Amino acid sequence: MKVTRRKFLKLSGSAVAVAAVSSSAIAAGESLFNLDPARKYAAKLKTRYAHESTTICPYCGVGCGIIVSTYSGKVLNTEGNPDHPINEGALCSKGNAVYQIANNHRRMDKVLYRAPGASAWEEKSWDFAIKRIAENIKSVRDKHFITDSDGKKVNRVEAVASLGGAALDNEECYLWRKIATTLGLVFIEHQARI
Amino acid sequence: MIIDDAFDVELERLSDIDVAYIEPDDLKRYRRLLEVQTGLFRQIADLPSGLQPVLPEKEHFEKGNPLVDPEKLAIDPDWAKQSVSETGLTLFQMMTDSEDFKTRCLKVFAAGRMEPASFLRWSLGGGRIDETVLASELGITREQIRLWGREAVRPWYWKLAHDASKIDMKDWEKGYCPVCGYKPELALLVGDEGFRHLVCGLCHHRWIFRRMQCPYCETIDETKLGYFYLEDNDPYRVSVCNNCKGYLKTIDTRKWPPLEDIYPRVQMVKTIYLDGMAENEGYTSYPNIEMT
Repeated sequence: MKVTRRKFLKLSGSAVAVAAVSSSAIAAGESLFNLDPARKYAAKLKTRYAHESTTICPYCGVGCGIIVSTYSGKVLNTEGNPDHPINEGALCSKGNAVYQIANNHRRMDKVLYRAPGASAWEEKSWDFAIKRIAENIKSVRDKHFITDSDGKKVNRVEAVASLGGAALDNEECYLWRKIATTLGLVFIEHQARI
Repeated sequence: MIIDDAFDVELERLSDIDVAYIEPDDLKRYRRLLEVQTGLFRQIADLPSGLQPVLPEKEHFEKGNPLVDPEKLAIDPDWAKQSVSETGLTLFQMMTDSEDFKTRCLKVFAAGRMEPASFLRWSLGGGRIDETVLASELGITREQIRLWGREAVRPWYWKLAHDASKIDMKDWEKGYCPVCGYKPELALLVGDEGFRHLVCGLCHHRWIFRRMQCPYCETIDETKLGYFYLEDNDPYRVSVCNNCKGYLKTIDTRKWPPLEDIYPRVQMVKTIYLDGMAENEGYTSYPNIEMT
């Protein structure tokens, strides 16, 4: 592989010689320590491997950089990315907790439904939940739809509000905004603005 | 706290190391060598180094040129002679018949085949010597001659790094040392933000480098970057690059016991098992990189 031109001093090693430097500086040198005991010792150790990648915090519009350590699809660690020009490694309390998006036993991973007037939660399917949400929006909208106000045609709904989450991406936000406006919603907000 | 230049404490800490993965004779020799090098460093610590007291032209750093050009290095010849003699004897007294080695050295010096200051410059890439002939005359290997050159010039480079620490080098963006151009030997993740500090393997200067970039081949391809760690080995990891197969031992100082200081020079020795681990996994601290 090639790198940009530079003077790279090598007193030992197997790299290709730099034109400006004597080849005597490049050839292999002996180590001060015999590494055989270290290799044998290390062979008995249980090593783990983690891959590092960068991402952006999903929570607000600042867009802080985060480094995520993973192995086999499992998140091992998250921390601020010091290379990122926006946060330079710092994270707020929410960004610091982003690890828990992936790993927290208290995260719900099933749909829970509490019927009107009930005190207990029931486990339901996604099909049930989506259908129920759609029915509720439609019925509230139809009941509280305002056609005219002060002699003007408004066609709006003030009984339903929308609060977008930071985990929504731009494309999802765009589509939802279209749907909400089409339904007549006016109270359309997003967590990133707050 | 990270403490960079505390030779006396470091020597003490090195004496405390008693582990299965370092041969006692190797440690004893290293410790003795550090004592000799510390003495040599202290002789020249306050002398003018010739380094500019202010940052050179911005373009100098932008072109990736370290502060020191070994071809222009002016080393005091008397000091060079003392350093070459003392480090040579220390290195080889346990490996060869020291009296015989001393005699051979004197013969080579007297014949003018090894001018000490030139030998030190050669070890850094300036000038040429016939190492095969020299190795044969001295009864050591070519690799041992290179090792000798590196260890003999090291105290001079400590002095240069010490003087360079007054220069603001925040514009330096390379993975090799801004003072001497050598490769890093250790990395430290520092502060709550986890900034990566690299420690030079020759002059032990410390500088900041990107976290998500290989210091050897400079790749920023995240699919190639990762690290090895041991479950109960919290502060230690071995950062690796699957592009050039280079590795770098790393200490996460955020996981270091808060009341204990970190001595990078001691840690380089204490973590030799991580070098073994990296090599077992197929990585090298001298990746094969072609320069243009």
